[in-house]
Amino acid sequence: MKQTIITADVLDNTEIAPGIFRMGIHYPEAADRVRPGQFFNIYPDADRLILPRPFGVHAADRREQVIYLIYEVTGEGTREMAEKSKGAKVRVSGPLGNGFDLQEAREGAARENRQAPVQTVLIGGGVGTSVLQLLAEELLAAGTEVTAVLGFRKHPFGAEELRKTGARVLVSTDLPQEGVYHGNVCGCMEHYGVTGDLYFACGPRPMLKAVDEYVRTHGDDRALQVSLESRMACGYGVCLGCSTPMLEEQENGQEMIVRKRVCKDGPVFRGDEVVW
Amino acid sequence: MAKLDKKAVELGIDLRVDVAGVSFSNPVMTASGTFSPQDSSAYYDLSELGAAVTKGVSAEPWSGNDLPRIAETYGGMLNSIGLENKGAAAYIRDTLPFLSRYDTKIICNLAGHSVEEYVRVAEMLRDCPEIDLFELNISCPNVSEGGMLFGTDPAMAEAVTSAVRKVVDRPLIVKLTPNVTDITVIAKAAEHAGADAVSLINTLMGMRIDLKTRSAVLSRKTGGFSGPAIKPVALRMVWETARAVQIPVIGIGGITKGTDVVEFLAAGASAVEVGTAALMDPAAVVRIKSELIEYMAENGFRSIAELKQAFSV
Ligand SMILES: Cc1cc2nc3c(=O)[nH]c(=O)nc-3n(C[C@H](O)[C@H](O)[C@H](O)COP(=O)(O)OP(=O)(O)OC[C@H]3O[C@@H](n4cnc5c(N)ncnc54)[C@H](O)[C@@H]3O)c2cc1C
Ligand SMILES: Cc1cc2nc3c(=O)[nH]c(=O)nc-3n(C[C@H](O)[C@H](O)[C@H](O)COP(=O)(O)O)c2cc1C
Ligand code: FES
Repeated sequence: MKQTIITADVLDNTEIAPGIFRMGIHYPEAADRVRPGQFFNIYPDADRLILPRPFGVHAADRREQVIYLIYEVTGEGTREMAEKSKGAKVRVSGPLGNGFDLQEAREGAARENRQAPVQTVLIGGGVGTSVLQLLAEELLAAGTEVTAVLGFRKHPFGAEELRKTGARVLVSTDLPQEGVYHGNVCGCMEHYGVTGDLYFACGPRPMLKAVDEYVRTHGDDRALQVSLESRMACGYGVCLGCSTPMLEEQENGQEMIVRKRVCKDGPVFRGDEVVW
Repeated sequence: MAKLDKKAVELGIDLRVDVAGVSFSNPVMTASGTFSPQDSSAYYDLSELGAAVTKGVSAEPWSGNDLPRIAETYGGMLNSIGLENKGAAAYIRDTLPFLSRYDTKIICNLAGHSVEEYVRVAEMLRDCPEIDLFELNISCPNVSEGGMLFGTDPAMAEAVTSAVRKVVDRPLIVKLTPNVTDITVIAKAAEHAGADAVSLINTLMGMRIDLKTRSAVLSRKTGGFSGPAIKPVALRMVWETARAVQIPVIGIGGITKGTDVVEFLAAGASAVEVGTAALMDPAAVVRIKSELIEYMAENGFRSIAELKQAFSV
């Protein structure tokens, strides 16, 4: 079957923190098969806005066939989204891109002679924390132990929902808040001594870079997967608008810089592939 | 025989067009840089296309410009990709075998920094049997040497066209830039140098400034402006050019629906290419083709020639 843009029903569109919304979209073709780290293109209604807006998948209700996105209102396209009420229509296409690779986590957890459970560490910053929900669910289902470290500027969101999965959840904020760690995610991880076998991160580029350094000082950034952002035009691989320099090991063992498309070859890459 | 559109045949509509001695199943083609055989084919059957026009290919791989390369504008967009491509060898190895599985014409878009580079890529590709036509891009605004430079000077346009003409025996389309005072001068130069057709327009030079970061949005500062907002300019230039040259004109610029195609045909185009619309909707080319068929059915046109004759512009 060919992929397409569908006009779907908005089942839910709630402001969960100031300027942050969660949208539920009825999308049977996608809810079944979407994997953590993949994204959806939302096509704006206004004629003057011509390009799709990409959003990582937050959660999927496979029974009700609903996908959930969490988005921050930052411009015209997201403002249009925020104005949609329950029952409105939205043009959407996906899932797009490659999600997080969970094979190593699954194989590790399934190994019979393991001494201790596989420890996975999930790190998110701002709206980048959104994609950790589905990821945590799948990693827990695979049998790994999950610690999620969430960083926000001021207003945390999504932590309770994550805790319900069974993950251990640590929260940090840049501006002092009651009862949460004051500082950034790496400070928070140092503070609580968080390390793991495998790391997964999504958030602003400077945060990802700091996380990569953190993982390297505690081991090897081949154990880290990061979800990158890039300005996109098409979101499905044809325009090269998102094409980013990446390190690639050649057959002769040497590393070379090649360009990869964030939308199609990513958005998830291994930490040691990224030209930081 | 190219694949005929089923719906058109049922309605008794003949969508075929001849351009530069090649017969196309319909006049709706992709535009270079907004189509990738593998990725686009996830959304529609490529045999639906009048032609598949591929991304600009150079003799050696080019890595293109730094990010950000994309900015949205009112009803349009800017790009500064800079002709990133994997080079002619990869094109022969990956792109052509994939595309040749489909029943459509293949138009290979050529890029270079100098006459020598254009000739070299043409030499590397001239013997590929899969390629039906070449489209010489002398109009990319996003590379510092070559590219658009050749399309803004009639003597240089003529020089590069005749140099490539000598190398390839397949029909040669020359793709023109709108960033000139009089596009018909360049079109005539290309015609004089042996072009079999011209295609226009490539992108207009544009710019956007971000008030938050207080700098240009694109890392290269300026970029190519495309999409629905540029259609009136493109249409005017196609109309001017069609009256100035004897060779066929392929219309490009801001086409997003079937009636846009009608306008370009009415202005004198023999066929059209659809670019940015494919970023706004991956299957746009196919939708636009069926809207064209619907328009023709509603207005009783049984062929493209009949449609064109009905207009006096
Ligand atoms: C793979 C991927 C996943 C993303 N997931 C999420 C998510 O889960 N939640 C969320 O809130 N945001 C996410 N973003 C960022 C989101 O796409 C932008 O915030 C959104 O496109 C802004 O649109 P706008 O019209 O409101 O902003 P405007 O600034 O008006 O947009 C203008 C143009 O710039 C582009 N743009 C603006 N900001 C960004 C950005 N940060 N990244 C990429 N393109 C941008 C827009 O798509 C549009 O083409 C993701 C981006 C990528 C690339
Ligand atoms: C992202 C992008 C990449 C492009 N790359 C090329 C290219 O490689 N070669 C070329 O001749 N034109 C290229 N173009 C120009 C288009 O083929 C077309 O001429 C132009 O965008 C106007 O048509 P449109 O408004 O339908 O997009 C590109 C345009 C865009 C938007
Ligand atoms: S956004 Fe077009 S190739 Fe990635």
